[in-house]
Amino acid sequence: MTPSRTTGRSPALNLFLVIWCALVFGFLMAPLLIVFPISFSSASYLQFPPPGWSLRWYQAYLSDYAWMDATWRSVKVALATTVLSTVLGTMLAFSLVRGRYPGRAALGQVANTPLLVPTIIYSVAVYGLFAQMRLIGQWWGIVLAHTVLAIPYVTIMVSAALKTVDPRLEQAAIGLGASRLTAIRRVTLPIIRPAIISAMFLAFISSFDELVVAMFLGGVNMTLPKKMFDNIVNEIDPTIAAVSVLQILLVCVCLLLAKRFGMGGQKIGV
Amino acid sequence: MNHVQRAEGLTLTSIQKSFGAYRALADVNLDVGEGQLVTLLGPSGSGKTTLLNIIAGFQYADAGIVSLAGADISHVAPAKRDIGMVFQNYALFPHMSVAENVAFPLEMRTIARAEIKTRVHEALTLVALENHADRLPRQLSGGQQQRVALARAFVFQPKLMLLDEPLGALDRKLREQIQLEIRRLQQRLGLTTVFVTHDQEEALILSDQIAVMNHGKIQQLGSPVDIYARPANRFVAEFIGESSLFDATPLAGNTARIGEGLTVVHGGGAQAWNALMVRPERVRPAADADGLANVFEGRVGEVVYLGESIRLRVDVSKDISFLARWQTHELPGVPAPGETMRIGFRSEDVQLLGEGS
Amino acid sequence: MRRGLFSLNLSRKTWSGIGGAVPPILYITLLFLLPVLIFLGGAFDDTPRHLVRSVSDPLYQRVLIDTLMLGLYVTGICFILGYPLAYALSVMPPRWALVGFAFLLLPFWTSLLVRTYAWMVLLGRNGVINNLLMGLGLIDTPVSFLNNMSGVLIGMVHVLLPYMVFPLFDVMKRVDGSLLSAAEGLGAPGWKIFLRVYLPLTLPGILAGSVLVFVLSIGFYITPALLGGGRVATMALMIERQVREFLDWDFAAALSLVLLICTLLVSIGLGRLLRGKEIHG
Repeated sequence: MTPSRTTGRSPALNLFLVIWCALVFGFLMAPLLIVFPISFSSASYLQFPPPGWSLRWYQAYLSDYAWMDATWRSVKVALATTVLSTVLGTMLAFSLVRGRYPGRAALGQVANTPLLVPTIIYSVAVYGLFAQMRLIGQWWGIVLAHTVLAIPYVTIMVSAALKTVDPRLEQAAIGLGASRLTAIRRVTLPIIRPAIISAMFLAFISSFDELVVAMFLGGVNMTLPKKMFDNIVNEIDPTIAAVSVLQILLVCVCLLLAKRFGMGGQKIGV
Repeated sequence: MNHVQRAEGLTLTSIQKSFGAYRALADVNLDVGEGQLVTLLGPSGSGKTTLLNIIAGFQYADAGIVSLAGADISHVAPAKRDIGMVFQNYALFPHMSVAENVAFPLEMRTIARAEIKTRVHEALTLVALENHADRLPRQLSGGQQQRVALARAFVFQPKLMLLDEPLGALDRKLREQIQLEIRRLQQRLGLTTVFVTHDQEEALILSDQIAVMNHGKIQQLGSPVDIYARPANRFVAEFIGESSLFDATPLAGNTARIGEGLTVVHGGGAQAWNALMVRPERVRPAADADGLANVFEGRVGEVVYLGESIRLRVDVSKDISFLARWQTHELPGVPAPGETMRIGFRSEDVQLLGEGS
Repeated sequence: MRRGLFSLNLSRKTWSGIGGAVPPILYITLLFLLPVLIFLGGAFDDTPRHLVRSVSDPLYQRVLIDTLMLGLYVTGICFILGYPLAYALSVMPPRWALVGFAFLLLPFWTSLLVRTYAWMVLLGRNGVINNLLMGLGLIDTPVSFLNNMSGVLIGMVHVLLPYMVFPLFDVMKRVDGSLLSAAEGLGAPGWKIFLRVYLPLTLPGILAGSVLVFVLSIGFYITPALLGGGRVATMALMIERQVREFLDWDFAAALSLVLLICTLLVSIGLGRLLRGKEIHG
């Protein structure tokens, strides 16, 4: 920290900053907090403050076949996406950081284009291709597309971590008798494991929450975000509040796990 | 040149390496006898980097043979060469404890757990770190990390140990201490060792033999005494120690002209030479100067007082000056700049030098 | 400092390590570049009529301008909200900054649909905010936040604010505090230090954050679709409608091309500028 800056600020500025932060954080947290009381409401339509408390919306969610089906499909898609994108993204990161071939920078740019192109364009494009190949409605079709979107996140995070690892460590391991793969497995991977774990959480959540691609590719087989979308458009009943609370709790757990086993909270931002 | 391959030790024969048009190594030959410590000494860009990489196997020579313990390893992968390496910044694995670091090369050789344990303990005891086995590298001081790197390099009884400027990151006092430790350990274990440094003092302290490198060639291979007292050429003379070095033109008899009206009597010896040098401690002050083959009168320039000795420059003409170093206790007083003074040296103290290759 | 002796020779051009790039690059080519290029190729059909229509039809001109304006508004609001926040986070004691980041990351990671739903609950005609305002007697009739621009703006700022704060925080964290002390020591008043020293030093973060927010906002689909209630037209919504309702793929491709060009112009153009201003190497 830089004490010089702290001491240099006037009390008025400090007060302004405190109030500003409180307001912005309030704005950021308000929607997350509001779904908690609504999810425990006993009213059968949206009413605030709730007239009474109950767990009926959680029961509704857990006992509804359509909700459960969508949830499991999303979990399945997100897990498969995590595995596939982590493997491909990590391979790419290794190649980009440790490779010694011309055009690496350009290749890195190509790998990042999925971040640049608006999702709606990609969704329509991949929908066109998959429709021809009769892949609409297949859960793994969504996995294939979600992996494209998750690879850049993995590559960026793993590359950043890899750049901080002295390549001589790998060389030292090889000099001490390890094969190249053993050197990577025993030395480099353990050092960048926190980054890989964080990248996996990011890949998982990015797929689990993704709506636009899944909307086009899912067909009648809905993912959880699609089911929520339909629910919001058609009928607002508080089941979705219960689902929301569960999702927020899932994110909390993921964040805590990422903080414990990954790189810590701050770096999993972008 | 014809090199007889020895049964043990390292032999480099006609090693060549170029990067595009740049010639990094031009015909390098070197023998390191079993149990010897040879230093590769040279400025950056001299080719010692490349040579070490070729010995280790991280780069392959364009031509030439690397043989270790009698076997040609020129095309053997680095992992199979059985060479223990100490890297410049130690390259300790940050996520492994001291013991795990030292055990690593043994594990790679699929040695039984129990034996690994005893050998790691032995190695750590040798470097006096047996009580730090469970620490992580970052919890150790620079000197301790250095010793872990050393233990990791010799624990698997390699055929050769390579040290790449291993002391660069340490402060002077620690350096000197560890230099002696490395030497003691190397001799005790009888390890054939190649040590790379750009620090001439380190090379003089540690080595059985020093290979002075420049422009991709070994300029001179010899014992520390040889290298210092009888440099093979101008580059070596300038790189090692201080000297008064002049362009010189041979004259009749054992004399040479070094400047306007200044001639030097030398002891002869060299074939083709165009320069000569005198080490500062060979230059004697006025009282002893009489009766020496070379006597000059000059004006005292810079004087540096170093406690037990002084170091001074005596200008004998506009562009000819001699450096001298004398023990303070031998002198009646410290000469003052501007004083006139007579100095001299014997003809044997003059070294004739040719150009380096 | 010289590199270690055992290091790879960096000047040497080889193909070492390219093998690892082949599967991921092949994957991205087949499943991303290929479909996108095939789709966009439709815009060129036989004649450029789709492209001409996409930029000359007043309706779509309007939508494009609205989309870009929306992007500007969102970027501006994110900057105003985010700059002081990022500054506060960068000078807070680490423990508090961690709490601050939790407040930033939790919404950031929370499902877009959860957040959009929550805003509908908060902003609806019978929503929490209208209830609150009426309960306090500040208004008599409910204010309509939803199905118009204000709802879309609120929702999008909520989603995109972290994208502004992270790059700003990154740059602010690296600003050398002694520079500010030096300026202070030279007698500069606070606002002048801010304008002449701090703002220029943090400019790379401002540009990076703004580009990110702008580019993401002009391609946004979910929030305008739900909070706009069909009354706010953006390029993303138009593209979707062309495909889903009119099955006009080629025109959708032309609109996509327009949107993509805007995106690329901003990100590449400002990216250039950013590199020019980059102080931290």
